Amino acid sequence: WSGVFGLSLSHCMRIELSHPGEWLQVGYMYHSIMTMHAFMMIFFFVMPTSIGGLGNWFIPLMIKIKDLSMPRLNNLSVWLALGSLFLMCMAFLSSGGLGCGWTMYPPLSNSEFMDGLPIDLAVFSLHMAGMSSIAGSINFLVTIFNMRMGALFFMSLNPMLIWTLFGTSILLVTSVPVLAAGLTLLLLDRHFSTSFYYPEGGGDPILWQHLFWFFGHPEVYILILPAFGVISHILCRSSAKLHVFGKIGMSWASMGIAWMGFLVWGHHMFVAGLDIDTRAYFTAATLMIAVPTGVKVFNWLATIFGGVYSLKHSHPSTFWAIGFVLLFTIGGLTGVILANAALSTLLHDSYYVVAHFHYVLSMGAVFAIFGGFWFWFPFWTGMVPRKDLVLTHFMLTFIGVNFTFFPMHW
Amino acid sequence: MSQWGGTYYSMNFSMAASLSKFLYECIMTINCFVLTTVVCGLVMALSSGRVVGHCRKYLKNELLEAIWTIVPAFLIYLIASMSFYVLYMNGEHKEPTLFHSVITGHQWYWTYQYAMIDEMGKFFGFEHDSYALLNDVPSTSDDDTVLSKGDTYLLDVDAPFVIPQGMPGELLVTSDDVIHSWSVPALGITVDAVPGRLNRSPILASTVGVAYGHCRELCGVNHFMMPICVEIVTPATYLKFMKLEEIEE
Repeated sequence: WSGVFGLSLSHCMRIELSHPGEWLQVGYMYHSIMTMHAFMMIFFFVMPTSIGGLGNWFIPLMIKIKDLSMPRLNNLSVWLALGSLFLMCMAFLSSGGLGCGWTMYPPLSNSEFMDGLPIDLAVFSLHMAGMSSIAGSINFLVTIFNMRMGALFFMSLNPMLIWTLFGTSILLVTSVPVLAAGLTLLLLDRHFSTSFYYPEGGGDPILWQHLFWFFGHPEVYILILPAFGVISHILCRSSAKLHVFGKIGMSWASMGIAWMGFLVWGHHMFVAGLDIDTRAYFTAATLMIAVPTGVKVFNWLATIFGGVYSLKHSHPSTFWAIGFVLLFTIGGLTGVILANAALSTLLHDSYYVVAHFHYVLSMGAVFAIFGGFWFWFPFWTGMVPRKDLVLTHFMLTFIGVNFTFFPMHW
Repeated sequence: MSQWGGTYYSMNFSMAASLSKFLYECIMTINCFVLTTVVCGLVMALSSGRVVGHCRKYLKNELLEAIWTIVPAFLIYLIASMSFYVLYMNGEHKEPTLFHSVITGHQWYWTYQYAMIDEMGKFFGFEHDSYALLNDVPSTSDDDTVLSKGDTYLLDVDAPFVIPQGMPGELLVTSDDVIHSWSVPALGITVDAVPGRLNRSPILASTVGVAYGHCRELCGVNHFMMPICVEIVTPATYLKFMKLEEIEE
């Protein structure tokens, strides 16, 4: 399974370059780059690294077995992921590019406005990525169920990473098919004259929004749950503790976040014309997710308590973990603000949303990935990296992301 | 949430906007309180090793966990109750609406339709398009499709949307092609323009003036170039405008 890990790394490298940077001719190019940036980061950086990479490496190790239950399924998952990456790059490079945003709302993404290759390639790419994720998740679920140490619900046995990957796998298996359904309907609309999203034929663009966000919201929890597990590991190692503070509470909180993630998709659609009572429900449900997330943050703080930390002697991955706790909290708090339907009239589709999700993603998921990378680097390679260089990596990243995303709150 | 060039808040032209911004302030206060707690906790926890020594066995404390579940839950309840109040205040108006306007989004401009019933019970109305002013050379001396002195690029339009001050009204928003979003934060209104669907939003402007906004849903190449300019006028001026009478500046 080192192959999977190696692949995940190469995905990382690949994605670093997809970040939109230069000024170029105005027009569809900017939208194309923006769309690609989102797809790359979400589907080809965070997901392969944290789920594919960490999951494949650590699930067998942490539950003390040799390999996952279905190694050939795993292999399929890898090839599908590669194929998906290829298709997505083709989509980017083909004429017109992907100008529709990663959320691909019809009618913009429908045949009337974005005819031809790019969106079809992207749809197929997402189908393949979805199949890859489902295959991997089934593998994880079967492995964890069958080969766990002791009874599954004797929660104090399993390490946090296993729990969070378990939750992630359940989310993937349940929500990706909904994305696949929505994508298939889009494909049918584009090429077979159906009218799922065409109002003239009795369809509704809002249908896409419901289908997409029913997947989309669990998707973002998929992105962050493995990160939660990684941070728990790093922090309890930094404090020289056996396991994270309040382990059972943490497991419940992770599962709670995963489950509640299914109930809140409407908060991405507050201004699309939902009924006012519907909006009220989604506000309430989204706000409720703040409670288990807060429990996790406070538990991490208590894990840190009682450990000896110093700038000179701490392992560099500790910095990433502490940075995560702080910055993810900030991102979570802006999420609490965005949860309110009443404020979406001011904040919908504004840079405030961009600031929020970049705080929780590039300062949440990515900090956990980098932290986990440096934490387990000696374990994976047997080499110890130079500490001052690793710390420099941290400082530069920390300063960079904060300067980039904090001003977006205005 | 400020206008271009400003770091403080833009003016509020309606009760909806003021309420929303006040709600934002309240939640932000609670958030800062939580953030301060977390930061203090972090600093305390990080330096505790020197004071208390290794606490390797400090692994659970049910009372503590209960406290930091219940207190945030209570804060969330506070936020939710305030949020619900503002949501229902802004989302539904109890007064009968006195004017309606239909706003249609196109790629890449807006169309505004005005409707009113005159003294004899007859319906009358008209519509006009609203394009962004272009950064171009005027073709004639009174070319009003091009930026002139004092206009703001990507904010000013050739024909602004006119609404009366103090009269509760209703906006019906739809689209001709792709999904757009009619958004004027100063009025506290953002409504998606979805083809095949008529979304409504109550509107009640409280002050006379000019408010700006942008399209807030990716709608193609010129998504950034379909601004919204709302001119809020006195009811008397509005009546004259509706009857297409001459309006003194």
